[in-house]
Amino acid sequence: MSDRRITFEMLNTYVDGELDAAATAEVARAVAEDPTLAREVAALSRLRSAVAESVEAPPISVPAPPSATGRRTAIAAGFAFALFVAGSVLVFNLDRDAGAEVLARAWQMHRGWSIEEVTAQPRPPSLLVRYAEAVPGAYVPDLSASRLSLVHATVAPFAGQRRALLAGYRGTRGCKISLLVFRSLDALGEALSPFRDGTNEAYGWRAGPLGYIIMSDGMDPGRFRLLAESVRETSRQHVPFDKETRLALRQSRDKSAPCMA
Amino acid sequence: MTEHTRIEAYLPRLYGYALSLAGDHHQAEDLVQECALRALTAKNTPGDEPAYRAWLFRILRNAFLDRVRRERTAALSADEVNFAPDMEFWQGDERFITVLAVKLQMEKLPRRHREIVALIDIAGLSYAEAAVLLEVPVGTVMSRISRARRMLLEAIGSSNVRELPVRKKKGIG
Repeated sequence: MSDRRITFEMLNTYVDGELDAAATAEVARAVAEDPTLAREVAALSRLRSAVAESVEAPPISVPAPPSATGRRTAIAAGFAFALFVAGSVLVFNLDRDAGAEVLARAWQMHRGWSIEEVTAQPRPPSLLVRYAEAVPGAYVPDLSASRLSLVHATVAPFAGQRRALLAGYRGTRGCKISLLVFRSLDALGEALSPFRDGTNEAYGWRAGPLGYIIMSDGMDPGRFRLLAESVRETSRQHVPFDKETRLALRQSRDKSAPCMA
Repeated sequence: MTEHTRIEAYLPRLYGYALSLAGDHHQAEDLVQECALRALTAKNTPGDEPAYRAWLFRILRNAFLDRVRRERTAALSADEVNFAPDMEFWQGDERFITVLAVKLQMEKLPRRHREIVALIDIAGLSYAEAAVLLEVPVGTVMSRISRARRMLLEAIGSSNVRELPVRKKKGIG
């Protein structure tokens, strides 16, 4: 018959070394005299060891913290944004005013949802059909291979008389991506055109009559480049990513650090 | 020692704790990375090691809670299952308590129970440290770990996971 003064909870506390000296001595004495208690203590000790050994952590890389420059950029987004627009116009190969207008509006639309909608939920694909009608021929890809969920869709006035479809995606580690589709600007080429300033990155391209701009603030550059290339390809073909692309996007995501923005 | 090196020593235990919270390997990795990033970008870092360790686990837990809130998934409280205070001693066979059995049964435990087991047995926190982290009295930690282990033992005892007997190879001579 076990010593009923010794409870299962006390035995747990005993094997964890959390009892005070007097209680430890009392339990130790009871365990020495009672085989049932001794078996319980052995089982609990074995359980502790098995639990401690049960986790095999995969290799986890410690992400590099954002540089001081990056942090300043994030905080002073307005200043960075202005510089970004000014610098990007040269790459865009448009006249200065038109280029500035396009990029300014694109980032405004991106920030319009990405800053506020922290609780946005994934949207059903059918919702996009309604929005896509506003920009005929627009192709909005499924980016779940890169663990990005579509959480926002809107159609809004864009450059000139255009209207643009904006699709907002959110990842599980703070990444926010905007894909903008609009009737193309002549100056946009079919190749990816990068626009970068600090942690703000964007790529633009033309696919048939439509222009696309994909934007990120803070995503790992390598991952974002692969994502942009993949989206460009799928926007031209209007087919979902193939198996190899999905795998590459997934691996790229797993290897990259969380987003800094 | 750099902050990078310092945090690397805790990655496996942080991962174990993250897995107990998230129940998913990918999410656990994400949580550890997010925790590391938050720790590396923090303005003030605790100097002594026990405080640093408790601080890291608190960051990870907060990151998880932020994610739960953000995604509006089931909150921690959804897993709170009331168990009858059945504190009879376990009658099972100790030999069945293996790493494999624990792995399988840990996944089935309610998150609240996985969490306390991970904090005490994987992370190596004391009851007092776990109490601060969970914002509960030490007595609550005591009863939680006891109940969680009890449940784990019961699950192991009633499962059919058994170690195969090692068969000796027949010698030639």
